[in-house]
Amino acid sequence: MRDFVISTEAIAKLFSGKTAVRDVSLRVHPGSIYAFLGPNGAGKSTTIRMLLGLIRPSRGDIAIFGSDLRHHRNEILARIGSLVETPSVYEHLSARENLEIPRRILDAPLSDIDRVLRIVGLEMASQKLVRTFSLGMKQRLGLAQALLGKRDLLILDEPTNGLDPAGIQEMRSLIRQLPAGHGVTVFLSSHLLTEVEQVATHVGMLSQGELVFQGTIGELEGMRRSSLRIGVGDIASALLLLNARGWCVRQANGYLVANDTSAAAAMNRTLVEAGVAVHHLAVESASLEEVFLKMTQAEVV
Amino acid sequence: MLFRVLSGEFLKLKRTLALWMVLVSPLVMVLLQFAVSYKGASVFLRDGKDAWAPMVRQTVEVWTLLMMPMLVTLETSLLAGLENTGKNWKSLLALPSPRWTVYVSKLVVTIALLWAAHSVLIGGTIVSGLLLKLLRPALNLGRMPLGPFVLPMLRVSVSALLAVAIQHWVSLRWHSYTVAMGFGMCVMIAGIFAAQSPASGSLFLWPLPIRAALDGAAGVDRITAIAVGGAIVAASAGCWEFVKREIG
Repeated sequence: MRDFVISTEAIAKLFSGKTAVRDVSLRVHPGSIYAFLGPNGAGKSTTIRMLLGLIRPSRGDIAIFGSDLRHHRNEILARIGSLVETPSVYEHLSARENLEIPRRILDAPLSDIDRVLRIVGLEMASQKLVRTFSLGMKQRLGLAQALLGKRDLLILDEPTNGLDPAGIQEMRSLIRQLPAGHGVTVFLSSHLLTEVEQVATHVGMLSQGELVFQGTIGELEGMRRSSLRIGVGDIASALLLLNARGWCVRQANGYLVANDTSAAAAMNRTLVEAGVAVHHLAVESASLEEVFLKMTQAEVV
Repeated sequence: MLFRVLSGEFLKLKRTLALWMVLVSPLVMVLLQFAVSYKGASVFLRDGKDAWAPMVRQTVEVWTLLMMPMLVTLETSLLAGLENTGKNWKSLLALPSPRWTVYVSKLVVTIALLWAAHSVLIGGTIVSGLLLKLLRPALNLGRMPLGPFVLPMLRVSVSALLAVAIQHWVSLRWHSYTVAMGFGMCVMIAGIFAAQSPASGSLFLWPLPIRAALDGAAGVDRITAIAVGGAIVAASAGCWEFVKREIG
């Protein structure tokens, strides 16, 4: 347990008898960027609220930095920075004043405000009222708040929500530099694998309140299945021929598809010798997004 | 920790309507009183006696029955709105401060704002009185009786704590302005009616300040004890509920 930054034991949350999160056991390694994935409504925000002590689990235990959250809430929260969904900012205050409020509570040095403003690139806008900020700037200010003080863990709930592509790219590069540059472990949620696969080292997938996968990005890559896709002139004859030769081939979207990719050359030769024209032959892998969608049982729109 | 949270709460007041209301609401009262006294001096003249006493009494009555309940309702709603509007609770309560410090700090800020408004009212009334003395000799204003004005206002300040504690909880419990404002307006109107009747007035809590201001010294101790004791109970119960609350 002490080896993990976050370690939960079968936590569950029920709202009016309905289960929102069921027996989730998270393991977040120090220095990792852990992407917590799942479709909308899967229970990601509920889990994050439990990790931040905003709601109590109906059952199960939460240990952060090896300590029980119930008994050491304030010591633990002093080391966690968070950004939950939309950035929580006071629009009538300047960026600096917005940072001054948590700085006082955290008892961090005054110079810390300049440090975090520099990290998120808001030094020039520090005196401006937040009501004049774009959503991307507010999101960066939210991240600056999360970085104030001595934070060892950042919990970011959908940090790229509502951002334009440039803002997403900016946020991604900010997050990527945090573990190496600032010694921070990052736990971030998203409903899109493509948004986080470039930054995450570990992945946890939540579906209907249950954790259906947890591991490294490499382990997830290993779950990608390859298949052989063959395009032919006479698809019905080719299907009969290949299946008659003992290969397991099916028809999909106007192509023949086989799971045995090692037989590509043999199948090609068989078809050509039988006079069937082959115009496409390729080994194709399922994208990580397809693996994710399959695991979380979401439908591609 | 309480002082750190409290200093953050005071910082949030910068550029807010809540802070401006501390000046605006008592000064509106002072200006109205000045205008009425200047134009209609006869209202306060009783057999050639000094007009200070009726003027001061009217100021205390109107403030305590009307302006102060509205100010308390508005201030508590505006302060709660700072967190409700931007959905800031989750961020504020994920900071490493015990939740009770947040609840108590916001309550302390509301009380500080109310008492600051009372100071402005007292100061404004004195200045307005001095101006009237110069500009309106017909009012026959002598030396201002500070005791009969400041003492009732001090009693009002203390006995208003119960209403503040209840209104504070209502504003933090329901995230809608409508609920807090609706509740505040309803109890204010009920309080005005209850204040007319000694029987129902003793059962209803909102007229406590006006009774503390105008009752004889004998009743003041009892009223103050009810108000302060009630405020402690209401604040403790509200704080307990706030600490246990789940933040969605």
